Amino acid sequence: MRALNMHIRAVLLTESDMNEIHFSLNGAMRQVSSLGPVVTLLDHLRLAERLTATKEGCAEGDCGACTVAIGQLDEDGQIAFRAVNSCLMLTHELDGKLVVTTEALAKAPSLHQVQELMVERHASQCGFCTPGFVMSLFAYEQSPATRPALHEMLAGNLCRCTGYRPIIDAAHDIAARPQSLLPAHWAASVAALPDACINAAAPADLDELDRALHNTPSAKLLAGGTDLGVAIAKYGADPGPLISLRNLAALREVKLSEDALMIGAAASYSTLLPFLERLFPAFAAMVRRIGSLQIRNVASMGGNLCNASPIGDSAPCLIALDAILTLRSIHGVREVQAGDFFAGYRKTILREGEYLWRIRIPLLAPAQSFHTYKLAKRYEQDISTVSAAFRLTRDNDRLIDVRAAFGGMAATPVRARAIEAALVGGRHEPAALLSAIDEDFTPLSDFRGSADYRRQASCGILQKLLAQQEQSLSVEDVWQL
Amino acid sequence: MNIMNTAHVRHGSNIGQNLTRREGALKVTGAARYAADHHPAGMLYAVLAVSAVARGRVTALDVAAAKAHPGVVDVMTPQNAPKLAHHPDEKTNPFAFRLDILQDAQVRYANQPIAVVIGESLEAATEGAVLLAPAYQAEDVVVRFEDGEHFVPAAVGVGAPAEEGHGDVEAGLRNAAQRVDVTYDTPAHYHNALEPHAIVAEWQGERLIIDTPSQGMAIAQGRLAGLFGIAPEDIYIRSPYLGGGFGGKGLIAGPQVLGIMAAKLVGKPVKLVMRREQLYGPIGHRGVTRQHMRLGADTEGGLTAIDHHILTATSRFDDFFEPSAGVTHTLYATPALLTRYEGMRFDTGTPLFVRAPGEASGSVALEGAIDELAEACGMDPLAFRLKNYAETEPLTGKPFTSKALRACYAQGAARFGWAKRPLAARMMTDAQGLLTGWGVGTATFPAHMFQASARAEIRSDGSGVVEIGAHDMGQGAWTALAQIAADGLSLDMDKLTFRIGTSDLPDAGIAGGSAHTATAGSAIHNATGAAIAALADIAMRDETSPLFGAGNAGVVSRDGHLYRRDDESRGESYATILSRAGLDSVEGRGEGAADQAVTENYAGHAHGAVFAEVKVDPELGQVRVTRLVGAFAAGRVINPRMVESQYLGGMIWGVSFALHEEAIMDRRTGRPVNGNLADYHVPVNADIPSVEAILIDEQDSLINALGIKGVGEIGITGTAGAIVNAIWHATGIRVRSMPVTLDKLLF
Repeated sequence: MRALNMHIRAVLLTESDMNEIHFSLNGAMRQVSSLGPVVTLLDHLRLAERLTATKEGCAEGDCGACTVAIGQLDEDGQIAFRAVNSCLMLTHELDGKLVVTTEALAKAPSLHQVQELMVERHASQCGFCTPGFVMSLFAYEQSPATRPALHEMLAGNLCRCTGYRPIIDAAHDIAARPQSLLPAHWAASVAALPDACINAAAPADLDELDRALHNTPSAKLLAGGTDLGVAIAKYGADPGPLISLRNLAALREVKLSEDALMIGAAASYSTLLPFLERLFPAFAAMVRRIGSLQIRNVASMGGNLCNASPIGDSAPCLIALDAILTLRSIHGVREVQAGDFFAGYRKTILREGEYLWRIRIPLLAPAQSFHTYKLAKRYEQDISTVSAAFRLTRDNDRLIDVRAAFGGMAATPVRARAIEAALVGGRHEPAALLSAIDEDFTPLSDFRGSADYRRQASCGILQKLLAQQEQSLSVEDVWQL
Repeated sequence: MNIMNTAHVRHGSNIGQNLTRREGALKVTGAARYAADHHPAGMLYAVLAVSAVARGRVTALDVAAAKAHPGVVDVMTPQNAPKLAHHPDEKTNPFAFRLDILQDAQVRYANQPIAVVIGESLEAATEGAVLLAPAYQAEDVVVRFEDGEHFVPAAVGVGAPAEEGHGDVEAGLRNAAQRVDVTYDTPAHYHNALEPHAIVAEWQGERLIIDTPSQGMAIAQGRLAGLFGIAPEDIYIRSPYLGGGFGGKGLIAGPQVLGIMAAKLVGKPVKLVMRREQLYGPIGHRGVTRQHMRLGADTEGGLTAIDHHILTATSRFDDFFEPSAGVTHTLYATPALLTRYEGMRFDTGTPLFVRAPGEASGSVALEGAIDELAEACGMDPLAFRLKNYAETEPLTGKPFTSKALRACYAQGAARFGWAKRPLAARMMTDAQGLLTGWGVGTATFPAHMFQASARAEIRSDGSGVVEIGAHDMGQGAWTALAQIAADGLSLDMDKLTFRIGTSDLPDAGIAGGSAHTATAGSAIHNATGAAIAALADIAMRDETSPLFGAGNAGVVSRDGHLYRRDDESRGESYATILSRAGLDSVEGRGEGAADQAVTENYAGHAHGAVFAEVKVDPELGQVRVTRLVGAFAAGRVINPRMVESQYLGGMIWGVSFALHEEAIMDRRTGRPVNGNLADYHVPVNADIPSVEAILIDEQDSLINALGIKGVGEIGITGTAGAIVNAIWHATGIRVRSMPVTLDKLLF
């Protein structure tokens, strides 16, 4: 709807002549043309369906008032839910999925337990953010095995009235209760949808994607759509031709081999978080502060890299971990170091018709440790003023190798070689660290922080890193105040 | 599903019960309909085109291109906008602020509406607005104190003097043993209620029907009646639920009027919803201030003088000066007091009321400066405040209607553990090496009352009806006022039909100034009392009634019955009285307003004390508030759950004031740099500390018959100051420029 241009086509049809997608809305099948104008799920709900419980507060994924639960059948035929921002979700991406809104939760005459506890705890005041909170809590309640910390689960929902405490009280109550039973017809409605892979206007495998991108090199790839969604929903930008990656399981695979973690470029942050928790806890700590849960449920590391933000919090981690990116096109594949992927402010080295396929992160050796820092004005949902990542290699107590990378200090996330040398060389006094920082960076001043603050704070990060080495404090200890 | 009538157990009085919100089920199911959720038949969508420059003129709009777009119905510009009965810049009353509703091509601030595109779909109207491709003649802008001339305003706030005080401040400062001379800066704030302003407008002949969030329906009716040249009673406003107000929906804003004009232009119902980024301009904001504080104290730590000088900015085209001196008039006893203002004109929208207007910004400066003086005197900041405790209102010398501030200090301090606080700064470090500090701030807010009317009815089936055009923006009017109404009629809540939220009901006055429960509650109290009196009158004049001849003073109401006070075995039910009289119902009307005799002779204020703990990372400057305890005394508590929630929500606004919120304007263009919820920070749940509000008992027999003061705004005051003071205690650094962001704590 906010696509503005009636002529925008959401999906570049490649080799299928089908142009309809199907999804279940609160248990009832819906069919929409996949070739129509770009419509966000929020606009579809409010304008086409006149389901107005779901609210628009910002149209850019900041406030969470538009949160709905998206369900997919897992191998056991159970529905797995995740909370998403409907303002950023393009309706076409729902092919084969279940959408649940607040309207569908209560079964007269009683409320759903999430709703009941929201009332009981006085967690709804003006009520405008409430449906979004209800859906975040519902998705949480339905996922007992993979529940995040409460503050993370709620990070994507803003409330201006309650001061949050009553909502957190309600969330605590929900955490202590058994998962509620779902209406039987929800799963049945999803099972009854036509097979998404057959009936979909989106590439079904990487070869088809190679050809599509070769034929239309200007096409944008649509993975989670959280950046593109803002461009469309907020700025009314015409994204031009789009290729949806929704049917490409190969791009979403996360695999652990003997010596590396392989991440499909379109895998959502939420999918890869459990792997990071186990292998690189400090990386996971950083990822948990990227966007909100709603964003991480759809946004991908590949998308984050390809947008080449100067801050993008995962890039410094990948650079410091010596990650290898595999790029692919109809002409074949090539591999580059993560640090060589960025060509400038919001620019990458991707060639015409080429895309990021997967990210390979070498596992840490026993003598190695990994550390991250994120400095931001607000705890959650804030773009970093400075972010930094370090891989340290030790021989007994001696640092023998350091990989350091920073975000927010230059036009792209970059490796900091002078800092690496200072750390390895034992030049640890503040003056030496500052001089290494000055050799590596000339940061800018903006409203997130002055150049001088960035400089000083980077020095603070290095001192903190060194102090932690002495005290063997984990990153988590320091960050979770 | 009858979810409005969730059963509540009542134990005697409804007032004081911890009821959950009566419309809660409607809100959690999404059944509560907000303005933008309405969709009358044949409705069209209107989209604002707003100015990209902050000062100048619109020189071109490609109306033809927009109109040629499929689905665009019309484009409203100054050329074809419906004629108004009076000019929107006419100041018809103190609450009539100038509006930008396409009266000309002039641009007075960024995001000012410059055209409205009406389409069959939101998509078409949105595209039409882009196709207008406006061209401007831009002029230089002023959005900083450094860039323009200062002047003394004629009045500040709504008609308050720009200079007040008593005693000889210069002598007091000269003779002081300790002095502070410091300047505190507070930035512009935008309300950012979760619900953006929205309106669905429909003209039925000369009658106007609108769904729009309003904190003051009667004022809106008056304003719209003036603009459109129709009678106020021909304007029907529905505003049962507001998605947050915070002052931003107190007065009808230009974009809402434009929605009505668009409906008039096309002759069909029209919906206009503002986009988040458009809110940073035409709906008001908290004005920026620079407050110069000069304070002196004698050798015993007693204040000798307070000089509070406020520089604040209004718009270039209208006057509203953030009245920051109010707290200084009421908090600390001093032999010499002076508060003075200077103003400036910025190329922004006119600043207006934002939650605790004046008190919030003034409180940070006063509480910060008082803390600095306590430090200079070598005194504990709480002891210093107690030493300078005001037994009468400092500005006027009037006694307080009630003031339980000492109890707030004592109970808050005990709960917080204040007694263990080291006097000097930078003395506490936690196990992780974070600098820890404790600070205190005094909270205060005036107990205002406006004007309200209510209607009550007792029916022959024993039920009651109470009607008042009150507003619920989340604070709980649906519930708390119903509790007062049920008690007034001596009925259980489930016997009461309670109506609020539409403009055809009696005027409840504005839901602002923390005055709504007191004002509307008083009107309800009087109306229900009148209905009971009318019923008693019928019974006492009926020879067959057991109450015959009891005399008015001799009858009490309880649980749907009237009884003789001197003999409670003699009584009968409301239903019996009315049926025997052959009446369907009996009615009472009542007014709510301040008692002039009280306001002339007494000062009425709510008070509180807020204690904050912060932790600061010494290497990174990162600040977290880890603990907040507030203790507040605000007269009678109608619903403790809702009152506590107002305090907690208010205190979080205080956290936000101290650490997060700041509208940043580009000094070259006058445009907001961070006009969105990603960059204009309000706290997320992880920024919120352990927070506790203690409700201090306070009986006030003077302020109004119910003894109610306001609770909606006081939580912000005191809190920001407590946090800033705690940051000093942690680090030794006094940050005097809000918000305290990490880059201000480099050390």
